[in-house]
Amino acid sequence: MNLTYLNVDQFCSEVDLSQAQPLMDLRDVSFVEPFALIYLGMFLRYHNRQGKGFTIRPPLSPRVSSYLATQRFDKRFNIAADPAEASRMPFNNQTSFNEVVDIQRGLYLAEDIGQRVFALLRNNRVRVDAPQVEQWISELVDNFSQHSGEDLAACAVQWYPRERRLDFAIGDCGAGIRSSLARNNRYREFLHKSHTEAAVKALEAGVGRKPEGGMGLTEVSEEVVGYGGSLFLSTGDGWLQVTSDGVESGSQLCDLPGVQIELSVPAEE
Amino acid sequence: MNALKSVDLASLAPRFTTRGRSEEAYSRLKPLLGDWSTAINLDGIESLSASFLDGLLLRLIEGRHLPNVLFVTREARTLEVLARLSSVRSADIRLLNEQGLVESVTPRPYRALRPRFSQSKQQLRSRTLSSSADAQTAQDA
Repeated sequence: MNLTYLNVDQFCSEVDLSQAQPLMDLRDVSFVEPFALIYLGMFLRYHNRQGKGFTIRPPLSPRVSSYLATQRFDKRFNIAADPAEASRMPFNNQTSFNEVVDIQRGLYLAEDIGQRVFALLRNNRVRVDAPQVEQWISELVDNFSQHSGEDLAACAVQWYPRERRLDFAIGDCGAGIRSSLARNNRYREFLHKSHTEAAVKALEAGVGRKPEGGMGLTEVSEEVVGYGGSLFLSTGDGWLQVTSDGVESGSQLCDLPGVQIELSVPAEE
Repeated sequence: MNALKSVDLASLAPRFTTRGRSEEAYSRLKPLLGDWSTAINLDGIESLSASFLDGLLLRLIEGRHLPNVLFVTREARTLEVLARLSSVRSADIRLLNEQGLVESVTPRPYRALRPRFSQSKQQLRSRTLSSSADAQTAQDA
């Protein structure tokens, strides 16, 4: 089974949280896409904060099992994560494709991550518009810094050489879009609306927690789609996907706080 | 408006990708603004984000400096972002073109979203990897 943005919420919803120590059974997992990896991590981290420690049954696939071990997946997410731990896992410009990176909110975090991904793309001669990708990633990371109310998030970048596709995922288990938006009096009624409606609203230009609203998510969506890519976003039990076909939205089985996003862009010919 | 002062945006901040950096750039730009026209050159920056430009524009509007500001850019993408900002912020953004003439940016709204509600994510166009070989390569990368 490949865990992707299509099925990771269902996978998480099948974890029996009524158990004192719930079991996350990854035995049948043969691949985890960046979004799913970040989503799983946030699922563990969120419930860990609610006092749940999970038993994680590793994948039978030696490749995936070894990958998750290398990423210290269990330790990273299945304990109360702390900034010190995050600082011991620095982003490596040369080899950090496919690595999970813990990021800590800070004034220059967005541009730091953007620059590091930029360097990663250039150093590996990935044929995408690196300055553009840097901007999109900076915008998404800055959204986390500005709106999540959380100190920690995680991100991952992946290059698929045969598919010639670049994915970047970032997630937190903080305030989420609905509650952030409702802090702006103009959008207070969204507290009583669905996560999906709030997410769709947040895609509009000039809409946001602050009175003047923001442009970041709108601009990223517009430009990523113009570039031939797509963006998937999950918040609470809502999700949306922006592609050249438009915006598709809906509700999902798992209600995970915070925001988890993946952007996916094709390489140039 | 009399004399024209010129400022390179590139000299006002070390990076140009976040709204926070636009505050920094504006604080350095502010002493250079006045009743005279100021041409702000937006080119020569590899990564100039919409949030940065939006933040800068909002501060210029707030400080009532926008009528005295002319932007200079030959970058198609920057022009597009300015056109969208002009629409969203209902702002008259003016450019100094290659001929030295002043022209207003034509506002260009974002695409209408028209979201569709789906019963299931399974209906989405999947990006799932088409071959396990690629998956393996990627996981090894």
